Amino acid sequence: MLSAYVVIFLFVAAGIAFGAGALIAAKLLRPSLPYARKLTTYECGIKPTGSTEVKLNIRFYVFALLFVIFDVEILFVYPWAVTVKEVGLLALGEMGIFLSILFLGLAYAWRKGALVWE
Amino acid sequence: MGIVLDQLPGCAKPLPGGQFLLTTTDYFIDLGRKYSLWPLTFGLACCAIEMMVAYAGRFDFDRFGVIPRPSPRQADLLLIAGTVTKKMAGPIVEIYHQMPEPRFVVAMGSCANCGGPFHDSYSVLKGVDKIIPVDVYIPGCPPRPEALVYGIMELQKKILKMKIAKGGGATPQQEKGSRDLTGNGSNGGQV
Amino acid sequence: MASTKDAALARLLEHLSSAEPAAHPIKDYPTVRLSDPAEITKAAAFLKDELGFDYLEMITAVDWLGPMQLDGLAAARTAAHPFKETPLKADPPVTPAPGAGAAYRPVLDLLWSFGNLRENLKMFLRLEVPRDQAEVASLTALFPAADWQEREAFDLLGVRFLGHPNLTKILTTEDLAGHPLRKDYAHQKDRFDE
Repeated sequence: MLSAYVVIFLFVAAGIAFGAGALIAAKLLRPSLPYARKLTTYECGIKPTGSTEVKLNIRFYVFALLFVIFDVEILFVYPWAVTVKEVGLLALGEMGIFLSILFLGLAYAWRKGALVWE
Repeated sequence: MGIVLDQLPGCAKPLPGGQFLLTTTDYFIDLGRKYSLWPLTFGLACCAIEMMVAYAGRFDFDRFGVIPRPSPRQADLLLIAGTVTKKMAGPIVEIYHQMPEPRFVVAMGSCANCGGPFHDSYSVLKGVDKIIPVDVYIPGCPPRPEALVYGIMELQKKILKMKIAKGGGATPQQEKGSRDLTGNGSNGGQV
Repeated sequence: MASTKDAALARLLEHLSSAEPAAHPIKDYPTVRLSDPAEITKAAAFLKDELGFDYLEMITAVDWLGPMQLDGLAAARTAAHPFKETPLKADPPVTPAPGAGAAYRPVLDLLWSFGNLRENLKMFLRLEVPRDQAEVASLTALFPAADWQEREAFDLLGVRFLGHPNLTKILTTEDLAGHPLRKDYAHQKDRFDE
């Protein structure tokens, strides 16, 4: 049983080594000659004008918030799904209550117009 | 400078077989550089059409590892394709400075080489090498896509000659110091 | 098509007091020669509102000064070519093109081109202004497209457009003085012309 976890660990280690190895090799092999003119902000060759602050629309925040909430909800459903067969009907009812509470939240967001992009 | 590029020539020379190590390292570094030339697409005029055709299916550029990039930060080749007007000269120099080393410049077409048919005009720069160092000149008006591909192959041959013992990362053109554009020399980086 | 073209021309001429069909129309498009600079705004407004010519295609000018012998870059072409043994021949004397029908005179012949996209028509307006006082009303209030067209005409030919929000150079570099497309423009060497 432990060997299964070792396999997972090796996978993770290989993935990290792949990415880190590429970055480390690049750092060792590339020339680094910074000077003031090279570090100026790129604006198609002209002198950069205007402010760098970008005003993001609030709808991005609302969608991200809803996504995170429902993503965590799904996360809770996964361990339930692997054990529901053993526990039986009680677990099913329990999850039904959980999902319906969160569905009420979704219905509220829907009615409030949070799901409309415009 | 990367540690390998800085220290390796000094460390490797006294070792037995150190010269072989250096040439092998040179070979592999140059191999990586020449087979992944990413041009900053700088199509200005008619040569841009031939350049686009070279990127497209029939004269596929991707098989050389040449992928067009929209930003100088991600590019290592500045492929000037077309007439350079004096008004464009300033942005070209800025963009050249914003490219990280090792950077190469290919002047494509008569206009980028010497001003071309518009040499006598009041507004045309007589060749892009008046403002930036050029590695390969490709003649033609416009050069056929095969000529552009041949020019890139010539640049690849030139890259293969780069050695980390000399200049470590700078192009052969920049090593010669034909135009000091790094801002470190006497010119102060002025156009 | 021909009838709508002629009808539009007739209505425009009727509306303006000092306009007439141009002596040399541009291809077969209706071309109107204005004689009063103040009429251009009235003509443009009428074209846009009544006749449906709401697409401004072009504002430019023609310099009728005639060919000049210049110093500077033009004369250099008659100097001996460095790589050839025989020197270049001087340019042959220029005769006016046949059919042009106009003697050379110090005027700038302004040209406006309007398009009616629904009925596929084009209308050209022409107006002569003196070269040393080339001023005419700007059409930016009626056609936003006139903004950069007029800036180009100002930069290259020196035509001032009164009422333009930002009449500055648009195509030439900052250190180029003068108006390059004028016939008497002599190019001064700048820092790029080593």
